[in-house]
Amino acid sequence: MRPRRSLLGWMLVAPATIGVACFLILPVLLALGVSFFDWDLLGTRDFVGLENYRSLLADGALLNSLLVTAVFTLLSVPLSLALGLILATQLVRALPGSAVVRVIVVIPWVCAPLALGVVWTWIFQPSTGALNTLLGIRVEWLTDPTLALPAVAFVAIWQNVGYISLFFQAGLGRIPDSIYEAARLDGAGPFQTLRHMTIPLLRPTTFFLAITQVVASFQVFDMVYALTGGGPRHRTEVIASLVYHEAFQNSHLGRASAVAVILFLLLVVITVVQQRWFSSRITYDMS
Amino acid sequence: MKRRSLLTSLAVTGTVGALAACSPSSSGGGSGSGSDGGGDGKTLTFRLWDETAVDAYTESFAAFEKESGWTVSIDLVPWADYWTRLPLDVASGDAADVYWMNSANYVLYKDSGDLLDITDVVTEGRDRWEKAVVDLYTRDGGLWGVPQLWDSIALFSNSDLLEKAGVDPTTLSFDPAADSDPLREAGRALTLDKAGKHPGDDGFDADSRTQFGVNSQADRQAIIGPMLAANGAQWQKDDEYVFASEQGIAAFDYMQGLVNDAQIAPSAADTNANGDVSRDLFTQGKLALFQSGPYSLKTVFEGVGDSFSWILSAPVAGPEGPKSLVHGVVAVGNAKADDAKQEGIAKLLTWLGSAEGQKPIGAQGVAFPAHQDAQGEFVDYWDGQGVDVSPFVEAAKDAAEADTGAKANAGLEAAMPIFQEIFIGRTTAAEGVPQAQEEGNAAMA
Amino acid sequence: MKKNLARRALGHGATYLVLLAAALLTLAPFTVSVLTSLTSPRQLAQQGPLHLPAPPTLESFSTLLSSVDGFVTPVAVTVQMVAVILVGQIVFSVLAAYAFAHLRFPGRDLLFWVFVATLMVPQVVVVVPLYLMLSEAGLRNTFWALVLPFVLGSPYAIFLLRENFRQMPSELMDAMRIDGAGTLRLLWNLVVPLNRPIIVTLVLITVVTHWNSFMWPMVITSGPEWRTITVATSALQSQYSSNWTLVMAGTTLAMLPLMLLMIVFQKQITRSVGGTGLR
Repeated sequence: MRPRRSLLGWMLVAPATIGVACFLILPVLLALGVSFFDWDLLGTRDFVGLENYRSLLADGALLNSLLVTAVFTLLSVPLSLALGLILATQLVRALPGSAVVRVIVVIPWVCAPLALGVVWTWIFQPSTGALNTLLGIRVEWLTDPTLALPAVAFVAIWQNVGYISLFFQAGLGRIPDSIYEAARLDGAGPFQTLRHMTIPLLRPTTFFLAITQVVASFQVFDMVYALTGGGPRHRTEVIASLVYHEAFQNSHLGRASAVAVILFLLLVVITVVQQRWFSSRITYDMS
Repeated sequence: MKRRSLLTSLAVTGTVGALAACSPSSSGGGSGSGSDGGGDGKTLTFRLWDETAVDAYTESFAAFEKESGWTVSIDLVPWADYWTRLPLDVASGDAADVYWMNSANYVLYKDSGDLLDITDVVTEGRDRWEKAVVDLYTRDGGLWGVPQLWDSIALFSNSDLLEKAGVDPTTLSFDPAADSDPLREAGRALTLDKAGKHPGDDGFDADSRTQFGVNSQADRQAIIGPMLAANGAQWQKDDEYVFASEQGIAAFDYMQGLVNDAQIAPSAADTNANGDVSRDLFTQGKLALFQSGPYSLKTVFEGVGDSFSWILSAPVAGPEGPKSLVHGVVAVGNAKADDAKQEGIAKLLTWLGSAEGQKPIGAQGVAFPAHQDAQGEFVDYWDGQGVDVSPFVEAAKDAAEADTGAKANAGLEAAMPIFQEIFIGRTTAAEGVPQAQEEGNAAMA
Repeated sequence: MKKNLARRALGHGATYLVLLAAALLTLAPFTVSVLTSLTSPRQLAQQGPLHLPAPPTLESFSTLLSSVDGFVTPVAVTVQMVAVILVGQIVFSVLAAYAFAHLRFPGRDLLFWVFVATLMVPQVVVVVPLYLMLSEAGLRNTFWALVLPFVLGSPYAIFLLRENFRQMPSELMDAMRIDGAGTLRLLWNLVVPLNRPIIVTLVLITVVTHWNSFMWPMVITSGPEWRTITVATSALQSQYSSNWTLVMAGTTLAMLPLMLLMIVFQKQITRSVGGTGLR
């Protein structure tokens, strides 16, 4: 009986295990290996030790991308969480018509970031785009080095707010009405209720969203590719974009892999730190 | 009820998936645009970046098929993606059997052994190929592509607008050292805002310009190359940039001045974001002088229609006279394609190098064919349309050098963003040009 | 009494203001894109982006759907790719999650821990080595290269399914097993129906993720044969950088199917996605 059950267990997990081993674990090891080589797409494959890491640090490309990604994260995550929360508090009031809005605001989330990036590129065109035409101004949203990253972050926020509000709506739905009833009897106004009750009670949801959104924003690629392609002058060159350009535009697979390895380590650290913090402070039921 | 319908829909998806799993593999071999081409070995693939040339090649390949029995399928990859796709495809063995190549990129592929040496493959008619193009692609004792077409630069002008402003396009010249020159004067007369005012007039509103004088933008081939050469600046020397000379910096400062100081050229914010803005403005009758190559002929001709008349003349002259850049495009043979295909590849390259094979390129008005015996077709085609293309032929005679070198493309990728910043006026030429030279050379090292 | 009423009206007004702003801001870009796609290039050049198409034309769409390198093949390729990945991921993930949740076998906990650890691997890290591996195997620019890395299940789905499966009472399963039901029948007749909400959610997430995926299809395919819809959209943007009517027709075609899916499955999406904590 028992060996048969064991065999069955192994058989059931076999396909997934093969998939994970071949297409996740092996590639990560391979990336680590390639990062020690001067590996040109078209020819040379020389072992160079830590040279790729050294040159990435020396020429500033890596630091620039880390900075760009960090700024992008700091611009987009807190704002989209705040706006998502505000939106959710209004949606859960369930006034007539809000069901339609609830569906509308999630639409951007199901659309391909690449396609949305292309649409926004059109809207942001300096002379012919809808935004400048509407406002009667001439701002170079995507080619001005100081505006490009905020513009990209804006599109990311625009895409995510509705999706984020879904989680807050679910979180708000779990807060018993009786608590609010008591607060109202005590004479608390809507802002006091939000500040002293809703936000603290939503902390599990907020933490969960903060982690997933930070991790996601460290991997953003498609939207940046369509909007700016990493320019102007590397001002929107997020880490994933740097990997792509190093690998497939400059043919430096070794340097690209080194960036990828660093990104992976960084995400491991972020996740572990956040997870520690998260599990020590709150208990959160995933289901 | 509800559970039932959901399960059914899942099951349906499953069936679709199973069907789909079969169909791609069964259709995969037949269409033959992939590298392996399935069972029949008589199909070759050809890749290019210019959509306007597709019809010409289709015609040429139809004749080739009749003669040789090999069919050729065409794969169009847009210019903006061409050079990022190519290394991926070459490295994985998915490159086309024969494909378009330019001078800035071929050395890389030649060095990695991916290109056939044409001197081994094509035996007839090589002496009739345009010499400037042959020279560009001759390196280390071999010739690395079959010349297909070449282009030079000329000035398109809107005769209606020029007449109204009293400007003669053949007398235009520029001089960065002078306070003004015929180009800037003509540009001023040709630029208008909504209220009909010219730049420099009281109350002129640059943001509401309805008509522009001239195009000046970060375009290596049509603007930067000719203007630098006309001002006496050298572009590169032994695969290294030397354009940050006194003349080079002055030329860049002059070009950005047309945009930002004289306000006679469309804003760099637009031209940086989309290189075709100037061409579109010209076809809409909103740009009077448009410096460009034969590659713009078709779009301009079709776009303008009979809304105004336009002519071609020599590019704007500088202290060194009018200068043009000559580019040549070649078709290269994939040295790493299947052995079974090499015979077909050799035949196709020979065909593409013949006057017969290149005739449609000229006869359809796409570009100057690189085979001298086919060039008349191009001139005749445009004569028939009422356009005299001889300024292009003239411009090619004393031309400036095009980019070449193992990593010329990487150098341009590094330098161009800085040029764009200069054109937009955020970086001065004195600061940006040496920086572009330095970063470009670092990328090419 | 009166004051309360006024306050409530004010509160409702504020709520509607927020909702209206959210709806308008969300829909505006889509409206611009659809309107542009229905405008003729000539009208767009003359009047700019903020005019209603007069008259509306389907010219851009017919160009896209009729030309050789148009959107017909990419749509077909994308549908096939998503269908294969979907079936594979759901089936293999359910099998593995069930084993992790209810069967005992040596190495189970260690293996599960490894699966969870791989959740942290971002796609951009594996894209270069996967390109090298699949090119080496001669699979680049084939249908299999598009689906192979994803079809054998996803650690994410397994993780979520296991959490849900574990909450099923094991007495129920034991009872069925005593009846002599085989594992597959048990899964199909009991486990899957009981966990329908999470599975539906996973189906939706998988469809959205892979319909929209871009980097991998771009790197691993070449040319029109196996081009997915996102890659075709990007190529369109590169090729017709100034022909926005055509490009917007492309983005509309790329986004429309999922928007329809979203509207059909709105209840499942708005409830289950927020509730289960996905992605």
